[in-house]
Amino acid sequence: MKNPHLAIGVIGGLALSCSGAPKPVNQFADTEAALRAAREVGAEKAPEAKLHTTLAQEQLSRADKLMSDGDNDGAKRLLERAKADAELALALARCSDAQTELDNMKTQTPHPSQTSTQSAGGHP
Amino acid sequence: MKTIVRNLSIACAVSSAAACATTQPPAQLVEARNAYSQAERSDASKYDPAALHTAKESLQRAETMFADDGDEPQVTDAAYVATRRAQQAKAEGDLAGLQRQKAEMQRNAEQSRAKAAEQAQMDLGSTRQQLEQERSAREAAEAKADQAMSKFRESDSASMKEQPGGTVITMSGALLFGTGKAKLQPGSDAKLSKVADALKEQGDRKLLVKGYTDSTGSDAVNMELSKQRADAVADYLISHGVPQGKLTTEGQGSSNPIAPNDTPEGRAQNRRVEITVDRSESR
Repeated sequence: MKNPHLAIGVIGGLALSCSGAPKPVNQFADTEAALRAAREVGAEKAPEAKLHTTLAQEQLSRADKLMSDGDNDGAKRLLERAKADAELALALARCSDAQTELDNMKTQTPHPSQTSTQSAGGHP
Repeated sequence: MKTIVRNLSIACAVSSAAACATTQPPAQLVEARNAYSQAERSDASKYDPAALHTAKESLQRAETMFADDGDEPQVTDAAYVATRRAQQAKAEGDLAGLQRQKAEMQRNAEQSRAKAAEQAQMDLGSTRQQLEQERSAREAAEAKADQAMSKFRESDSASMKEQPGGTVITMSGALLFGTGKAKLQPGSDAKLSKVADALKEQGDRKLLVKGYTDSTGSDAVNMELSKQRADAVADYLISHGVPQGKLTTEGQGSSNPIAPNDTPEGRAQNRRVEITVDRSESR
């Protein structure tokens, strides 16, 4: 080898650039928790919310792979996206439930013109 | 000279390329801007300004990255997150709006229920008052009827007896009719008019006029005669103000004698008209 010091430097530099940021373990757990919360409020039942839980799950899985491959920066960005999708799914699910509840109330509430009057049972 | 011109051309081309690259935002950033505009126009600004602020910060982060010529994937990721935050702010604003509508509906429903209960209470009070008035009127009418009967009793115009079914006024047939006749005698008016005066005050009480004969003659003849006599008395009462609808007549013939038929006095007693004032019909 012509310049072993140069080779060592290059290899070291490469290793440093790959491992740079630490593994975003906590961020991964937070993102998982956000997705779980969205599912618990029924996000899978509301079509619009389900789209975002699906996106969140896909990105979470890809982030997991990147972490295994040592690309922690890439994993962090994916986790940020996934968490944003999960939290959006949660908000959409709650919105959908509230709308359903309001619609049900509207169908159940009697018309203001309905009145109940009682007589004393008529003349014997 | 040619070298100078050539170098100048290259420099211009590079700077134009650089200018184009920095002024064209990635599609994701454009989407983020649009999403934020929508969130700003939604109920989020009214009901959830905190969520809108978070969305704004997220967008600003992406804008800053873009302005600083950041790595395009990084800008795209930041813009993606900014889009989601804006959509989240809009959804949370919508949710707050829906919750307010729900609360208002519940308040209105509660007010309606309270109003209906109040109205029912008023109706009940009104009904009770009406019933009380009717009861008072009834009691007054009964008192008046009893007073009329007491006055009649004191006048001694006919015998009166209280029985379970009501008050029975008994008038002698000899006083009212000639032998075998069903036409009222002229002298009967004095007593019958007092009976009519008392019966006019009996309110809703039903009146039953029964004619009786002694045992002389056939049952068929006696039955017919007793009915005709009962009708004659009823006609008199009607003509003197007793409501027709209250009166019913029956012929009893020689049934139910009140004295033995083997003496003239007994037979005279059995020839009679009874008027029953039915107290059980009183309301």
